[in-house]
Amino acid sequence: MPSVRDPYTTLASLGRRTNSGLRLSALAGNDNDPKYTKKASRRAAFNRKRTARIGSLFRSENMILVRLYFDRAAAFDTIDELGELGLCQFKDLNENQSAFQRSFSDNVRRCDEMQRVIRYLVDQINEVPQLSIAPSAFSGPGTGPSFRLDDLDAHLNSLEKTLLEMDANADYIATEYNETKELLCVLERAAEFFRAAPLIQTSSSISSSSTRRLGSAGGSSLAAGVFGELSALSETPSIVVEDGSMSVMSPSVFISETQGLQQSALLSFFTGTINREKIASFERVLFRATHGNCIVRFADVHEKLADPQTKLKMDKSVFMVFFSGSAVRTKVSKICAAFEANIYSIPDDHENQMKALSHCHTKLSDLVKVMDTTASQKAEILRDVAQQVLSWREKVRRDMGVFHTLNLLNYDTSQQLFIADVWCPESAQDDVRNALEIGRRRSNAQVPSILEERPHASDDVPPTYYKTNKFTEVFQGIVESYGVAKYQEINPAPYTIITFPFLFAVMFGDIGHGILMALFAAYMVRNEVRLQRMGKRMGEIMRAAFDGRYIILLMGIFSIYTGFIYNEMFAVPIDIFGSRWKYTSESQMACGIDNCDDPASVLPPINPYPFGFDPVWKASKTGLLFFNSYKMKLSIVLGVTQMILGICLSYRNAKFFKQKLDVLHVFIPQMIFMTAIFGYLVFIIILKWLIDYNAPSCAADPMCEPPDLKSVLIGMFMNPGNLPANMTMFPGQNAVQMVLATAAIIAVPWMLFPKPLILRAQHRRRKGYTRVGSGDDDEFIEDNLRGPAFDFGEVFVHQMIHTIEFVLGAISNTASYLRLWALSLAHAELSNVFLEKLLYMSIASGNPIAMMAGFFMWIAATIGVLMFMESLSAFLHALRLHWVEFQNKFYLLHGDGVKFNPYTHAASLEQD
Amino acid sequence: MAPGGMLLFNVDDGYLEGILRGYRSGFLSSADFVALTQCENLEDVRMHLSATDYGNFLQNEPSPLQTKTVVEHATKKLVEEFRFIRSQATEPLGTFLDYLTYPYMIDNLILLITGTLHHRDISELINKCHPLGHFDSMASLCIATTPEELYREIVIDTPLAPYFSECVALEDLTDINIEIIRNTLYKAYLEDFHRLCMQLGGATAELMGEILQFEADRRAINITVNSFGTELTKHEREKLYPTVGALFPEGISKLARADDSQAVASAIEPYGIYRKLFQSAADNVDKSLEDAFFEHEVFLCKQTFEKQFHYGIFYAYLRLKEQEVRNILWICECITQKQTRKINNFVTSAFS
Repeated sequence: MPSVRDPYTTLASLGRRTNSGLRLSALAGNDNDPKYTKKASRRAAFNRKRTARIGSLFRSENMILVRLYFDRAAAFDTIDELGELGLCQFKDLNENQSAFQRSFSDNVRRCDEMQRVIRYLVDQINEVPQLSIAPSAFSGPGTGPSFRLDDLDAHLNSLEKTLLEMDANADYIATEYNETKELLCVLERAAEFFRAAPLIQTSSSISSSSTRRLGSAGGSSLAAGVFGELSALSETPSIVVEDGSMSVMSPSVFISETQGLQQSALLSFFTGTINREKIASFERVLFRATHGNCIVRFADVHEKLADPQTKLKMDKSVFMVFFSGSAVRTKVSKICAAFEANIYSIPDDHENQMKALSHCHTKLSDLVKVMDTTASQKAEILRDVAQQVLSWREKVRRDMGVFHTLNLLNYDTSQQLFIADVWCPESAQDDVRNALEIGRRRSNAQVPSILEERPHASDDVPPTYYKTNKFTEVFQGIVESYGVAKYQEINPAPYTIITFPFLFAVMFGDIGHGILMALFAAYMVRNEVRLQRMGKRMGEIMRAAFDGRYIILLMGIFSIYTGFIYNEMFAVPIDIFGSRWKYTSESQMACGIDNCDDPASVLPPINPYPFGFDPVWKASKTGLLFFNSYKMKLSIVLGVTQMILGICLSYRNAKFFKQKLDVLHVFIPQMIFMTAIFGYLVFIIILKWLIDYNAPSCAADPMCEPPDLKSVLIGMFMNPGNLPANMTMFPGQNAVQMVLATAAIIAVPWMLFPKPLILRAQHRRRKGYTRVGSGDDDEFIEDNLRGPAFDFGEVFVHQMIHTIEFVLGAISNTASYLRLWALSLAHAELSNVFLEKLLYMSIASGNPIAMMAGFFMWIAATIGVLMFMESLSAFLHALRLHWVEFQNKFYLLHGDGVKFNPYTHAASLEQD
Repeated sequence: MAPGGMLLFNVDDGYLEGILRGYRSGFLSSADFVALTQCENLEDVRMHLSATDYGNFLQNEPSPLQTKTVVEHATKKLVEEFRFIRSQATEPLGTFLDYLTYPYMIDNLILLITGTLHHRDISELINKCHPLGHFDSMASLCIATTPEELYREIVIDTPLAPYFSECVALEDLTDINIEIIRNTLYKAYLEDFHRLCMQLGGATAELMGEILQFEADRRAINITVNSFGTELTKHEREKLYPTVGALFPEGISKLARADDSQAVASAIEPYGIYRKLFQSAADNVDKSLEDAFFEHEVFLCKQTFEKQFHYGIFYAYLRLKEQEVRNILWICECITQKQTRKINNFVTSAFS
């Protein structure tokens, strides 16, 4: 309804022009003052720039606690506007009241009731196949129908009433229809019973000869057969005599066709329908209750019948019970009632049965017509409803959200004002102010709404809020599934955006696989809007992939890059620049990499391959050794770099929170420890890569040979000062190593002792000031002066744990990064095996069918094992490296972060 | 294998015990009950319950609500939970759980016989039956006119058949005979169940033994107290006492001779727990002996949750949940009848 909404949008723009510093009360007057507006907009621009500079993902946005005051009349519209804005987290000011004691619980209850009616309507619409529900008209702020909740309530009530009345009528007709249908079945089956009577008779082989004689006598052979069975079933024929029936039952009764069954009044019967599941117990109870003096026959109805009472479709059977005597009659009818069998009386002679049958048919067709008209009438009503029902639901949900929020507020009865305590980002302060003003104008309230910034108590930690977009969202999600950052602690997410896909790609390096993955993600990114609309229908796995589409895209692109470095495309090396190990005139090589008689004489080519690995390595025997050495060292280098970055971030944290102690006695020794051991390791790794051990100058020196770096590092601590000559890589190495080892050893007690000791000293100094006083209140005052209680033991143990964790962690975490190598190796080898064993072997066989099969198996293995399982495992390992190895250096050391959870209308959308 | 065995319990029953521990945290808390008692109408009750483990179990019921609907839905939830557990259970837990439903069957049986005796409509009666005690031929109960018929035609198909054999000797169905049938059935059931628990052994035997002993003694005392002034002879009465209680045999033989409540009090004098319960009922005007017994039962049931690897918690869960539903019923009734003074007179099922 744009026409209704228009004033608000213009208002909103008005509000935005008159920005920040202006008092709201002056707002109306200043609208047309150009000077004022200019100044304000400049200030707003400055504010924007400042937040942009800080970077919204690096630290939590600045959050402020504001108190809002607004008129009672404006309350609903104000909250509605704030919900539209979605940047306010309301504090519960009525914590000690339970849900039903709050002031708006009546409204909430009414919304509940309306939701119930809406659910009923939706169910009704879904029952009519040709109707489809139109999507909600709410698609963004300011859209959707505008109507009052009261009107909707009344409308819904009248709708429900009409529908219920129609249902009652339809029910009545349906009952009649079902009954007639059952009667029809009974009539049809009953005719069969009568026809099948001779069979019954012959089956009762033990029957006495007299009854057999009767049975052969024409039309009422059924009765005779039944009678025969009755007497056969009874232990002695005398029972029949005792009933007094035998004497009356002269053969003539049965023989005379006109008299029929019913007229004999001795053998009567019930027919009807019963749920097929109950047949067994029904028969058993009948048998017991009548002491065996009855005969039951069943015939299955092949289609499912709806029960007239319950309307449930079920398998039913037609039954016919024959018995004699009135006592048994009451019993049988009681049993029938108990088993919920529907009894229908049918005429006993054929002619009347046929009449009844045709009567049933006409009645059925009449009823069908009536039912059709009723259904189409109902569909007509529902068609209108279907257009709007989702909009209604949305409206009710939104309003319910508003009432729930209103329940969190305080009401100042003396001034008729609502008071709300709200957390909101500092940058959104003006938007909140605007929303307040729009809300006030919408409701024509006279009292201006006021926003007042308030200091928050020190124990009241603001919630953590990062402004994310659809790209950064997933990375933030990855970080936050580990834990929410403390307010304004450094957020690892910005680093994760690059390091995560990179570490993944180190493990997943293959051009072909990378391209497949990137294409898949690119498809999802391109069709984002369409896929988004699919929502839940996508299925859980697809949904997860869709949510992570940007991370998958980056992972794919990075894998292509590392694939080029590893020079692998589906495990096949590609020779773009031409291998440098081939014999050419410049290369001075006498033979290829593996073809020399004397391998020692093989010299590397003069020029290295320009980018990535030389393709020839892949085919050579020493290729694996070469890759392993490279990847292992690369893992260490990457790992140590990332961990040092983590430690540096801990410095930024300590500096930001002005914890000088942490900088001096935690960050510095940690940094020394890390760089002295593992920084040095990285240094010698790179140095070893740079030294040319094949150079003539080196060849001349017997001590010049590639050293084992592990031994160098171990020797540095186990055997300080005695560096063997064959391990020397640069002059003065021995001295440097001794200095570094000493520094690392000193760093450990430095981490451990100073911080708790200094904290204790500070605490003691503060304790020095005690107020002059005596007696009981001493303690009370001291408590207040000293601040929080100080337990040296606890602080020391904490620091000890921290130190041990860091020192041991430095070693184990470095080793943990070797998973990069392991996973990368596994990936390369797996894809190699699939290629050789499935594709190459089948091609080598020369059989075209085997080739086809081999090719498809290779595709299946590539997609299923490599693209799906292998990528998942690489993902999980990258996740672990970030959560554990990277983040434990600086993130979540306090673990008391609370995520910003603003009240927004968008949340009510996602309920289904 | 004793299901109390710490080593192997989880092989079969660990999952269900876990589920049950989850259900345990779904019990209404004391704070919930306090809030419920402050409700002004059933809409408030619905609102508060929707914030608890009951969730939106009433969401499709139109206003105004009735107490009956609330309790029906609460019972339905209990029954669904129990049926879920039953369907997941393996032997011998399955048998144990089946035994838990027998008392409901007995109650339903008695309800139906009494109802038909007074010519009530059978379908109306069936609606009143507890869903846990449903059995196949329930509806056809109305055709029976003598205990023998009852046995031969209906009870024979139910698990209650072995308990019923003693009642067959009774001549016809009168109110007093029905009472006798009920108590005889119950006695036989308790003894059988006690035997089963002892057979299961371990912590189950220990905890269930205590609970069933209490249950047996409670029945014995109740039968005695309620028999004063009726035509039940002492000899008949003695036959109804279960023989598995702590009172058996001395206390029982004293109870059998009791003529008035004074005699009952002296009969149970040597037994600490019952003396205390009698005392607390006597001291407090608002509290009946029945309430005191309930309180003790709830206490015993809560105790079972302190121990692991046994079946007692299944029994306790059913009992406590039932007590909770009873409490909701009581609170709802008090609210609708505006009896705010009495609203706190219930035995809380809440874990503190």
